[in-house]
Amino acid sequence: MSTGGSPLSMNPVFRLDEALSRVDHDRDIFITMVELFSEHGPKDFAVLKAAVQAGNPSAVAQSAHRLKGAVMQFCASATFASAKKLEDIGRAGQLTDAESICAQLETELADLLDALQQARDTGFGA
Amino acid sequence: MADAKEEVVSIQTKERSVPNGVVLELTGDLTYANREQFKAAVEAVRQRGCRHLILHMDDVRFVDSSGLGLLALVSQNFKLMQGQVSMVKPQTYVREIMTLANIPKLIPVYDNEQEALAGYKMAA
Amino acid sequence: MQKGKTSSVKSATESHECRLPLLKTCCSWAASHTVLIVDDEPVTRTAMVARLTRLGYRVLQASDGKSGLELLRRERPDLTILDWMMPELDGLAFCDEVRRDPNILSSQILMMTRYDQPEQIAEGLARGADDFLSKAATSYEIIARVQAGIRTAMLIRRLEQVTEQIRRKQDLLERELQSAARYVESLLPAPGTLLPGIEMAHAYRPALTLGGDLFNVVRWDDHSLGLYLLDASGHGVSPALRSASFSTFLREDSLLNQVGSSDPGAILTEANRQFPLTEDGNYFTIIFVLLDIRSRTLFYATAGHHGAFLQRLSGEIIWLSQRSLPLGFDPTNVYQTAAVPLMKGDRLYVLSDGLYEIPSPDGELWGQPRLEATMREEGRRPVAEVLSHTIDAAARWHGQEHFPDDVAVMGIELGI
Repeated sequence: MSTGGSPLSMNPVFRLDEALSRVDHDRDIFITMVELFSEHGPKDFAVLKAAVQAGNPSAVAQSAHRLKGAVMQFCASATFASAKKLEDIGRAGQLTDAESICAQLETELADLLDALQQARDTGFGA
Repeated sequence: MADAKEEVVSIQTKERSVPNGVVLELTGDLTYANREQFKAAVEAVRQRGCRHLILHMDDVRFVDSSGLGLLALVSQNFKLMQGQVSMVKPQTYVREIMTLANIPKLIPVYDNEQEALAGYKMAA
Repeated sequence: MQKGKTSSVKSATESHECRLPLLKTCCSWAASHTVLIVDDEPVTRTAMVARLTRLGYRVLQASDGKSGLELLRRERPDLTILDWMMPELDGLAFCDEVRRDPNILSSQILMMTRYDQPEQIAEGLARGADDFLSKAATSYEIIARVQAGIRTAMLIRRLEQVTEQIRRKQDLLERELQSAARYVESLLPAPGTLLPGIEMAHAYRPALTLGGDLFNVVRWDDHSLGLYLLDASGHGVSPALRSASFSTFLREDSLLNQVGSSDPGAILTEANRQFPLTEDGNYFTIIFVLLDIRSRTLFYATAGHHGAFLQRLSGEIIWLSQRSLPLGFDPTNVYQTAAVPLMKGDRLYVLSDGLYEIPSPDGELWGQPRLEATMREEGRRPVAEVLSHTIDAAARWHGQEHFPDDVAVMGIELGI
């Protein structure tokens, strides 16, 4: 899975066309969503990381669920998968692998935020 | 005037021809709620020119004050055509109620059909 | 709502394009409906709000359960779309609150959750969610579920409206009946001294708001007094109307005009001619009494009434009874007047059959023998007391406060 910027239409971190069609190609709304995510995403991740470090399964599940919901809107499959995994193990109360998945998610999240910013800066290929 | 309870019991009527008349066998309650059925059955008999209507009351377990009025009405309608209404075998409770309202003065009460037929013949 | 974000949502409503013509979403239909979105996660919430706004719905949003509830109570949206997982008040707890509140318990709630968890769905349904929506659902599915939810909401609202209309109509009817009942009671005579030495007490308990029983006094002159108790057969408002009409015939001026005498038998004979059986077989029963002070005689005639008696000072009870036909049973009938001599200290009681024919829970009638026994026990207590104790005794026999049939009772003390 390649990271960092690439020509928009082939950016694999998130699928722009799919994400746009989810909002019926309303670019204004999409910009709003990107801005919201840029503001809240990192905060939500910080809460998740703290929960993992504290070893609190229900807190892990809750914060992972929240992050997952936002990520879903951008059709970023890898980031989504990691968040979902953390939610699942949090629900199951089995936090053995939580730290490593969390580390992976941290990277993926950073990549996603970068990619979204880039896409935004180049006007979503409009 | 004590009137019918809440439960709905209908009235069934069955016709039978006899010499010089028609027997209407009644089953159920003769009440305000059932007045249309009773009136219709009697009217059907009357319109065929029947002069003697015998109401067979053996299976009538309850008559309310409206029922008493209906009996009086039926009797009047038959008298208008020179006819007569008789009654056979009312149950004890029903007989008491009818006696209090003096119905037997309008509609003679008999213990069986033979006596009713005989009674009509004599009056005619 | 976040600052600076309103502009994008506003522009969507202003431009108001139907972006999904295939589903034939009618924008004017949508515009008349309100959807509330409750989700703490801002990205998802924004996307959902934007989508529904684009479809033409009026959209409200809340970022937590508590403010979502407040908004629901205040705005009464047609549909609420609710996230399952929220801090403090989550989706299920939100449903609990809604279903507990009689003002909003019929609200339509669409819960956002993943479909692959049947236990979640079962629990959601049990706690009060009406339907479910996945966050990953396609536009088509979201629109379809929202429309379905709103259709259900409209059905429920219509049902509530109709129920309310019916309730108001019933209230109106009840008020009108009460007004009519007050009029009927105004026709009753005032208790007290009818003539020197003659005192009357009475009680009146209609079975329903309006009753068919009526009684009154006819003041012929200084030494003779008429009184009657009439009972109209049948159900509903009709007996009361017929009684009121009959009582008009029984007024002093009307009787003098149409009967020409105060004789009870003559009065009933004329009444019998004027008030035939109705087409439903309805009729009157009545007792008419004439108290002649000069000759110290009580005259009476009855038409199917069996509830009047004279109680002597000695305690002896004399029933005023005749074999008679109710009015209208035989149009040619002539009613006979009977006479009873009056003695000092006599009491006249006139009761409607609703009292002495009252059934026990087993169906046994209270009957005249028990009534007599009660009267003997009461002895010479004041008439008003005797009447109320007798009614209480009948009520005890019946086993209930409420009588199935009208009860009207008159008691007259003849201190002459």
